Amino acid sequence: MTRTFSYSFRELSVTRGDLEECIGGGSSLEIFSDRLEGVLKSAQDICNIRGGYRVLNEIDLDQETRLISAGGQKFSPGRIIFDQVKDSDGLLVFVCTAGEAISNLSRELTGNGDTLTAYLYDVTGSVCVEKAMDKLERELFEDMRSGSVGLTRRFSPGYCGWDVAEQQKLFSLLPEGFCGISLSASSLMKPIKSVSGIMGFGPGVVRKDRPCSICDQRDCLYYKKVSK
Amino acid sequence: MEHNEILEKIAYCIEFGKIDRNSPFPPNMKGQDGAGEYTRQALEKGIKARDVLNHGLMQGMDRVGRKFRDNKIFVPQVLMSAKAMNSSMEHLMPYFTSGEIRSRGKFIIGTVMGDLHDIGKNLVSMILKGNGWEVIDLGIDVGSDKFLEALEEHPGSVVGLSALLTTTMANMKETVEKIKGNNRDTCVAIGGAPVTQEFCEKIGADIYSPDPQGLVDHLDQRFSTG
Ligand code: B12
Repeated sequence: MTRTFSYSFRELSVTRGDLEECIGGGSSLEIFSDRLEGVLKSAQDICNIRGGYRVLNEIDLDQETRLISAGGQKFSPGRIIFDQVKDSDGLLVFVCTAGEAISNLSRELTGNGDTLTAYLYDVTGSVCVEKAMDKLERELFEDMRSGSVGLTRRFSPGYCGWDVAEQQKLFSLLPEGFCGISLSASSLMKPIKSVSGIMGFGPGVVRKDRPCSICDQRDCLYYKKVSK
Repeated sequence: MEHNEILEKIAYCIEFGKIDRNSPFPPNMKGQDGAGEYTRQALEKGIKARDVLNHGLMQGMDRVGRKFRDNKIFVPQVLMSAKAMNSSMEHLMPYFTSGEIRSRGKFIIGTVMGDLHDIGKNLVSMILKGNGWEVIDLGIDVGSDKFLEALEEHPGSVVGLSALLTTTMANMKETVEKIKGNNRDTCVAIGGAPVTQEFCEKIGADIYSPDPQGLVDHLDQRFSTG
């Protein structure tokens, strides 16, 4: 079963604070506040936030090899992620994007010499797709909880020691061009502002803390949030 | 204004991203002259273009690179500083053309094949320019052959490769091999989020740095004119 979803930019309530957090710098960015507000205002018309997922009910988790078999693919997400999903009965494979327009605009502005606004749009695209996934994750979690089913956090190839090239397997489980997202041979998604990953679910699943304390990727997006 | 004072003004405007009088950034310098005006004034006063470059422009960008490395400023501030630097550089261009001042060398940069990220690469370009390098930017998704062609056109250049994913980082290996196969003395620098010193050594590249200033420091050591 595959499902698609879309959110409006407004629904995600992206704030200046979200952008500042992604940029770093806190109060030193105060001088750019007008520009940040301007970008946030117009992003509504530029972001095309959509995504989708496939639910795989027949999966096998090999506790010894730490391989997850689903839909004819064998994922090797590594110890950290395997430990988080090991009690799952099913797997949800997702992709989500903020669309191409925001990156195109950013590139165009760079070409015109307005590198600052270009960068702020770029960051907005990144924040947007992450917040969209936060929202989906929350909605699914609540939905499942009402049926006494647990949902893990989301995990993406390229994080927590999971090889980014395993996106090839992930995409093979989704229809071609699903939600307008494609994957290159070098495992780069287009549009650029896209994410891919998995979540596990099942009655025995307990949502755990992010595994950052046992991971050594200190400049990771998620580590920064946890260590705050 | 004393010569030193005006050079410091240029450095200061670049450090804080004050492009010219019309620029609203930073708000506390609104309505004041910026890097462009001060550079013009310095040259009109007879300060040598070389001194404007070394003690004004480069001094300012050096501070920017260090503050960025130390997380005291962030990408938006670097972008404004780079714009201020460009407005100063415009006035210096005729002196580069006449040969009165020369760049420290040529640096060819590109994001490797299969990768479309450019913000990191662009920041490296800006900081190198501000440290006196002439930068030839080949853009994104650049194959080995394009690097070789650029080297043929600009012999003796240093080459910089950027990648943001471990998969595209792997493409650096082939590019480094081809460049070194062509001329083993070509200095190759690599960088980007997944790159490490260990990987740099493994593929036979010469310089790795997690940030642009580190690259500048390496280049200073390697190519110091003493
Ligand atoms: C924002 C972000 C995103 C955003 C936007 C990405 C984008 N491309 O615009 C979103 C949320 C969409 C995203 C998605 C993904 N991301 Co991401 N993302 C980041 C993050 C947090 C910041 C990237 C960034 O913009 N940095 C700012 C720029 C300025 O930094 P930079 O490019 O690294 O450049 C600096 C230095 O590296 C250096 N440098 C750069 N080039 C050069 C060259 C030379 C010669 C030198 C000396 C120095 C140098 O100088 C620059 C200035 O300091 C990084 C983690 C991080 N902290 O870096 C992960 C990161 C890049 N992402 C990662 C991954 C895995 C992904 C996904 C594959 C995850 C997934 N499965 O969905 C996708 C891929 C998207 C795609 N299109 O294919 C990994 C990549 C490593 C890997 N394992 O391959 C990283 C490193 C996170 C991690 N795991 O630690 N991501």
